[in-house]
Amino acid sequence: MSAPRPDLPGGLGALAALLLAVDARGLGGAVLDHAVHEQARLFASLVRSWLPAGAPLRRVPSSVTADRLYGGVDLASTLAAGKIVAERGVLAGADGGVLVIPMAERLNTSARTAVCEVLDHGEITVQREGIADRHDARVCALLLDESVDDELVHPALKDRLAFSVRFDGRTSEELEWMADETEAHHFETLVREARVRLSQVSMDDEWAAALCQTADAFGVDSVRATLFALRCARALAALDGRLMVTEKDAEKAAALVLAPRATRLPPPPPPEEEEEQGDEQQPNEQPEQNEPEPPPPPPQMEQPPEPPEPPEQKDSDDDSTQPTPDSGELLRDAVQAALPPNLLAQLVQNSSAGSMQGRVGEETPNMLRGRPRGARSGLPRGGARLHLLETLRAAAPWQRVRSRMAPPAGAGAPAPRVAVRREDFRIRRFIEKTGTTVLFVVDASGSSALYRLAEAKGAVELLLAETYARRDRVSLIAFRGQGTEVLLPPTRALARAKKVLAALPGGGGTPMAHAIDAAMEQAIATRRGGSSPLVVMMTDGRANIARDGTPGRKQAEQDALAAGARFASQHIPAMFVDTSPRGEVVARRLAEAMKARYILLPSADAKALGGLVKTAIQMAEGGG
Amino acid sequence: MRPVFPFSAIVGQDEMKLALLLVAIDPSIGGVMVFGDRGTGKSTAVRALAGLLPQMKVVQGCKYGCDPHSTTQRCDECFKRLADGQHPRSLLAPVPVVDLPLGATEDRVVGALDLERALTTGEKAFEPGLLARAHRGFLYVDEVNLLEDHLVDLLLDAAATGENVVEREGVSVRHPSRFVLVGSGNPEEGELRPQLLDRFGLAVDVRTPTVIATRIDVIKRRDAFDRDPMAFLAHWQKADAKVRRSIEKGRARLDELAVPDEILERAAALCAALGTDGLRGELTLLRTTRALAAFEGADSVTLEHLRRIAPMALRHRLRRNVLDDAGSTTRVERAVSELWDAPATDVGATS
Repeated sequence: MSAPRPDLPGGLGALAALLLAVDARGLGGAVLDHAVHEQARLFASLVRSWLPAGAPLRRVPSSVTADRLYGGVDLASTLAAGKIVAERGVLAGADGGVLVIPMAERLNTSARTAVCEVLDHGEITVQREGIADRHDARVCALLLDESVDDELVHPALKDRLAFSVRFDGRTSEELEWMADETEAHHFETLVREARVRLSQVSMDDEWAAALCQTADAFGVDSVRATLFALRCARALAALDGRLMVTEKDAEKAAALVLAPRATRLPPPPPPEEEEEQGDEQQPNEQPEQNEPEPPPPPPQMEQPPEPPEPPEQKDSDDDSTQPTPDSGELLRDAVQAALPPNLLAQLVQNSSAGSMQGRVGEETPNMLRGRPRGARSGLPRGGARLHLLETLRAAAPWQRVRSRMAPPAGAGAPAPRVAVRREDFRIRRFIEKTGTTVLFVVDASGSSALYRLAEAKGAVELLLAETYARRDRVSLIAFRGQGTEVLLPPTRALARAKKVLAALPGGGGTPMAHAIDAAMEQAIATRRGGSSPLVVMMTDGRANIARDGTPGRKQAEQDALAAGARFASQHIPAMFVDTSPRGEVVARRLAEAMKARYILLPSADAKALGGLVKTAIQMAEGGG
Repeated sequence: MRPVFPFSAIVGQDEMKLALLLVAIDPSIGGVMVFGDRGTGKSTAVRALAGLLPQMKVVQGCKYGCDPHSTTQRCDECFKRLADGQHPRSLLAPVPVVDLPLGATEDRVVGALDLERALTTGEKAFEPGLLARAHRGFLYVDEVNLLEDHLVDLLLDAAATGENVVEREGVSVRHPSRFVLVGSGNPEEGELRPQLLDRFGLAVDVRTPTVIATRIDVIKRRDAFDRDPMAFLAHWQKADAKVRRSIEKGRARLDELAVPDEILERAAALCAALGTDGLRGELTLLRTTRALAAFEGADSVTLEHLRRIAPMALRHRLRRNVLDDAGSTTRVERAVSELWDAPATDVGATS
């Protein structure tokens, strides 16, 4: 520490930007949490400006196609050269620089896995459309998290990025300060020197151990996170002009990397156990001693995190490189202080949502609309997209013949290298994901009696298991009393369906006509959505609430039959599971009206039922 | 070639490592499906295996890497050579471990017309795809549960028949494609198609280590590797060589080991008790048990071997109770101990 060094930013956000420039590969990048456009741009351009000269900055638009992401065939050059000329994609183009992904929560599966591969290996493997290649893609990824509600940036992506930056006032201020002309040069030098120094920075093993323990205490399970914390501590030391990681570095690294990932709070340290805290000399005996099995998050509610002030810059330069016995404790405090303000709320939410943290919703629409299914011949117009490669393949065998047959190139125009004709054109074909949606319409009325309802639930569970194995979607509709209720819109989350079903109360009248109408509406909507519906009615068929809501068996049954006939006119595949003990004539008649396959539940054992739904689904796919 | 983390340096994850070694010894076991949390080194292990496998003999000049000793699994050209009575030279080549990226397209998976040659020389030549490259080796699909269905179909087709048949753009090619399918994925992010799951001989679960000392080891080794890969590799070279030798020995021993009838009966009883479909379960149990005995240099195949591999061979075949949250591993283990430890009654347990 000879030359006077500039002050490092005190806020974690601005510090993260510097660290990323020091060890871009090692730290992966950052999630920019709900950054305003300008903030994100400033952040990205700062990181880039500190990277070695010439570092690219590429944005991945949400409309990116696979060929641009991975790289594909270069149209112009390929036609000119008469052989395949590959073109680097966005990922490879960002090699050595910054990759910005706006609306990261909308990133589709294939783009996401490509980004993951790049972050893991610093390269991208291309096995697409005639090209087999591997490109370097050592990028610092900045993911703009603009999620609302339940759309989340995929946890697999977040896991591969060291930081999560919140744009509070301080972060913005400091970023602007660092971007200022007078300071810019300053920081650039600082980062450059740090990058050189980084490989020599050493770290006492005990700090690695302390970081592991801290990660564990806060329920950070991913090994990647701890590795990031380790690298972050080193980068911090390098940035500060030191060759040895100190307590300060470890503390800050924990606050930067581990705090945003915390999934639980460590139990308050009982004072008498404190000396054992960081004593990781005896390996297998002591760990987790003051940390019995993962304590469920909620119980620690009474111990709110400290207000989210970033940890104060300690001016006292206690550069102890030797961890003291309670080093784990210190890191813990650092993390505690840097916990996001709404952590507790999140923890509670997550635990009630079944601990499946960061569950992403339904599959996001594929960037290609439906899955690609080869090509067919046709002209690329009216929205159809040319499949260049297939077009060339179609043209290839004819080249010799065509060049022979071509009119002598006297008219001045040189003969093209590749003669492509109208009939060679191939356009991309996509298949929209269809699959089956099984709509369970469950009678929860009093006549179905509670014990029958339980059996119906059991049967639905069985059917759920069957649809689960086939990856179909299910939807649950219950009817009782005055109306019907969609308990669960079409979903693949079977566990959720099971839960909803279990909580379904019973009692009340049987609004049969309503139920059939609702089933029909849902089925039609499903069809419109591109999926084939299969309706499974589970009821004893004893309608006693008419269409207009008035009680009365006679009218209700007539209404039900009328609804059934309308239902049948839509040609919706259906199964009618009669839940009455010995079978009801009305049920059978209703099934007939609906043109539904009739099954008497008591006679259908578990296995048979599963088999029936299987055939019914096949029927739905074939006919629907 | 970027350095690959050495296999023997992987901390813990014993079941995953064992499963990979067993299929390396006996590829007919089928593939390995690795379920697990994020950041548990699933793909590290598979890539590490690549660096470890003993080299194999291939027919010189064969673009599919045909086995010079095999008379049945050959590509058209090698069949012709065989028929003509030629004995082409063979050479040693590394066992391929091929990545199938999720963004791959069909033409690259099965192979397609070699466009460049078609355009420049007018020659109708076949450009082999990943299925050709993976022949006699490993095909690795990270996040296999997210693989597009049409690609899954291609894999299933090749895996079932052991060959790849291409009929497209006027190319008509058939070549052997026998590979060990290794998949990894996090089941929370998407379910695996049952047909594909069934293809995997073994399934293992990897979890983040809970013992802090283990985690510290993981971090330290990974960090050491990242900082100086060459030194790290040098340090683990011996250990890796030892594993390689045990694979070689295991392979050599495999044919000598007979599986006693008693073991077969137990395997069948176990499958019956667990209600697994089809013969695949029993067959996998048999082969895996033998591979384990061979790997460990045992003189005979024992019940203990069977017991140890039962969970990995069966846990993904219990599909009767998918909505049951009880772990499948527990169910297998429970069945094993019921059958084994119960006073010796005869087979015939039904669920």
